[in-house]
Amino acid sequence: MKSRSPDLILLLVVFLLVSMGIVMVYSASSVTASSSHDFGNDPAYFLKKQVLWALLGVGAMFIAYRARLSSIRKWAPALLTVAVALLALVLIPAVGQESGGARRWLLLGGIALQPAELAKLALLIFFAASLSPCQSASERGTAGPRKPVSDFWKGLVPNLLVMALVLILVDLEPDLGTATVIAGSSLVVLFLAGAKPAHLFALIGITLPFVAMRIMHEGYRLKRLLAFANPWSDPTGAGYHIIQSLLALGSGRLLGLGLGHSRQKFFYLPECSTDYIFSIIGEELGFAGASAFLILFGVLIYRGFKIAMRAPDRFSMLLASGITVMLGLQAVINIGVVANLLPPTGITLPFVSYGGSSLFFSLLGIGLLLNVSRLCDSKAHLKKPEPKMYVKRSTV
Amino acid sequence: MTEGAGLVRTRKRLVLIGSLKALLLFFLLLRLADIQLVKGARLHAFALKQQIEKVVLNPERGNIYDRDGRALAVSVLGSSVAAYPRLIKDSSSTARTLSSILEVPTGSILADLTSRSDFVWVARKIEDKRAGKIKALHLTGIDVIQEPTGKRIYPKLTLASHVLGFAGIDEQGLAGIEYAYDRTLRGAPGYLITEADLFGRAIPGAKGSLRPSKSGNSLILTLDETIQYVAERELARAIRKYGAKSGTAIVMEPRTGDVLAFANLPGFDCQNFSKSRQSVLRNRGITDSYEPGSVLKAVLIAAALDKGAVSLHDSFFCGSSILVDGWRIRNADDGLDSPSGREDLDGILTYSYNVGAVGVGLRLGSQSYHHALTRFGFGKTTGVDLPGEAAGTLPSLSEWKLCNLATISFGHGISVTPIQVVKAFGIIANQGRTMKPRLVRALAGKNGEAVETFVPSPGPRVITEETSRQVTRMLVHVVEKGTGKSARVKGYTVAGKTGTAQVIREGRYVPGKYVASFVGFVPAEAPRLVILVKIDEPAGVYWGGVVAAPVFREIATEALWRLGVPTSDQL
Repeated sequence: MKSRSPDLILLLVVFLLVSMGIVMVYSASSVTASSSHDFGNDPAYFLKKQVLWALLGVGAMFIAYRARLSSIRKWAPALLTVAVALLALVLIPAVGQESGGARRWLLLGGIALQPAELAKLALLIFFAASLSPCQSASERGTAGPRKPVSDFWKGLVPNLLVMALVLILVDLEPDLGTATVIAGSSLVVLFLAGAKPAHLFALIGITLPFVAMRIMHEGYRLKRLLAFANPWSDPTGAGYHIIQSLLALGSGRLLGLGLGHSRQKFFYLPECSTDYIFSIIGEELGFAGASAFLILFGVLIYRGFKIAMRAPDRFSMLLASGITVMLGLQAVINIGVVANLLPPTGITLPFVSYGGSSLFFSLLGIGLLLNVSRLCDSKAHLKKPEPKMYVKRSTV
Repeated sequence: MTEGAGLVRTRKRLVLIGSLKALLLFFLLLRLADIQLVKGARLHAFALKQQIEKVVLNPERGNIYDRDGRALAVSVLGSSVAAYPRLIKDSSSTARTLSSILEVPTGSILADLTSRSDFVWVARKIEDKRAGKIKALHLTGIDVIQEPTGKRIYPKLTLASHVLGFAGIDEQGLAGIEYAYDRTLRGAPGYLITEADLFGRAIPGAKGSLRPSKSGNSLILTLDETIQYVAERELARAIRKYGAKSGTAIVMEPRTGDVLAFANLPGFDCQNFSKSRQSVLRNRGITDSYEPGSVLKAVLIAAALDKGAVSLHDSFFCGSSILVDGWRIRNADDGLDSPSGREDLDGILTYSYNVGAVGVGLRLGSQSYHHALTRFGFGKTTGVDLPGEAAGTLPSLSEWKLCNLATISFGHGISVTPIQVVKAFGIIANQGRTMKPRLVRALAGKNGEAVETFVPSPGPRVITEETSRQVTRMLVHVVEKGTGKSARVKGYTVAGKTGTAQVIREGRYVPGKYVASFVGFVPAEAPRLVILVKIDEPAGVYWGGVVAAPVFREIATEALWRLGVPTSDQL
């Protein structure tokens, strides 16, 4: 297979997001960091860690970019197995690091790792492999499907069971946000791979009551949900977080208070460098800056889908679209929560929020996307029997 | 299904998902525009409300000075020690140093120095000696700040206590000038507006706004510290000498209404006012009314002359008693009897004949006399700038019967306050024009610069210049040969009138208790001072001419000397 240059626009967009993200992480976290002895009163505490993770992530991205897709496909089940094992490991109280009532981190030689972030990517790679027919003898019998996914029992259900295993483990941490992203992007990938919409809708219909029960069961989740609907009814309690987020965004107006001049980061807005970093972006850079971020994500998603469209085979197509869907979904949910359009779930804004694992695995995913992009056949989508509709959409 | 067909379907679905994503992103963009552009102003205002911290800065209270700028009441600034914990390098050694100077345990200081705030008070309002030591050390992150202590100091202790009044905790004026001019003295508080974090700590580098407190204006009183001192000293001496209960002395400049001294005894310590009884705190010179007695005869004669009801040559019956409306009125006043049985106005005033005064009163008539008394300012407050002034009691004209006219003619059956009497005699001394007595002549700024000077404005004319001259001449005779001889001042012509009346309590005369008074002005040719002396309930001798007149003399002597008034033969 001849090799072309990777999608440089995608690379540029990711570079912009990561570097602007680092700046915003520094701005948002410096107040907390400098005023706490836990962080050595060092305003750059989080900045340093984030830069380190970004460098590690870029390394991972490069490796993923250079790797042979066929070996990734071959190793997909093993990767998922490792991810599931780590997910199980993190649940063991003596091993998993607890923070804020959730056990989500593994300490590996001083580095905190979130197995859920790995599992998210591993599951998508696994789906890409398991939903693609094998093309060579060597691949046969590894992860390729015996039946198409449109077959409910023999195609769809085995994949769903794998997904369910991952979801249950993630939800046990608990980490509803990541579980939502995993479920959402998995379903989209299944749909893209050819699952019958009727099956998927039925599945959603069946699971919803269980999800509802789960929410009702955990009091804080229900409270969060109600607060989302009307935060001003309890401005100092359940509605506090979302109100502070709206105040930050609103304070930004058109052009923002200026980089570094957020007021809400002075302990008014909790988690302002992680889940709510977008509020600080809106406050400091205004609608202009916030929409610039939104546009960057738009370009990222567009380039991701474009790569998927032109991917040479089913595996790379599903892989590229899975990663794009995952990153896009995460961005939309994060910003949706910050803007009070969705109930708070607790997921980070990819590339931007503070958080090593998230940044690392997001960059790894981009490496895979770039890997696929250099295999793209710019005419691939034109060689089809009924191409009219695509011609217009993809020849940009 | 072929690989190709599968890819085509996947691509179709990709377009669908992609479009959906684009739609979601667009929707988010709209939502952001809604929050940031449409609702932005409102949300920002709300955010500012929680982010802005307002610290009230207390203003410095204005001082009170006498007419020459001598301090009578001052507010002191205290030194307080503040720390900026972020700037402190070696907290424990700094804490040890402060601890040894302030004599406060090291531990509690260390807790302040290591607190997470940007600013903490380590010690408030400490002694100057300690503050100086700390200041001299120039410790990093430690500052000595001057702030109002909320403590009012009266350097002259009890002097003019009833005029000055007193101020309570946090320096709000509660009585006297301190109360009357509280708003002027108080100033306006300032505000330090800072953007603060969730815990109210200032955000470093944030644009704070400071509206400094506006110090209150200082008052320049009309009082003269020296004359005030003399008045209090002489009053005290008389009270001691005659075993009196209390006394009042007021010195006023008739041309301006400037009160140069206003003494009430017993006084109190303004700083520790709460230790004195309520009755002592009262400024009797304006709150307590009494029967003026014969002093009022001067007003009666002035009114009768001015009205033209009597002439200087008219003579009146001055026998030992007269029967009016079934009431017998005697010449009981100063124990003098007319040798001839008839006296002119001069004689009536000089020897203070009650019987003669009744004759003058009957000639003048109720309506004219009542009108004159009102014009002289009786029955209403003088408007002196002190709180709690009483109006006295002038029975309304409709209540006046013949006997009222008769008794009020020699100063009974009417009650007046000392300041009213001073004002009334001021009219005679000021060629017939009223002057409102005043205590404040100017406002000064924090550094003594003049802010506003009040110009005394003459009130309406009450009697003609001619009448005032005639009455003055008679009043001079009172001192030269009549009841007020002890008021004579060497080198000056004094005009004045004695008064003696029985104390009234709850509407009844208290037997054996008298009010002895003398009111006059000097020099008679060009009056510079109106002085009233009133001694309450002297034990034994109670004649105004004996008890009060000498006090007038002593005060007048020193006051005239103090003011450098040329003697009468120099005029």
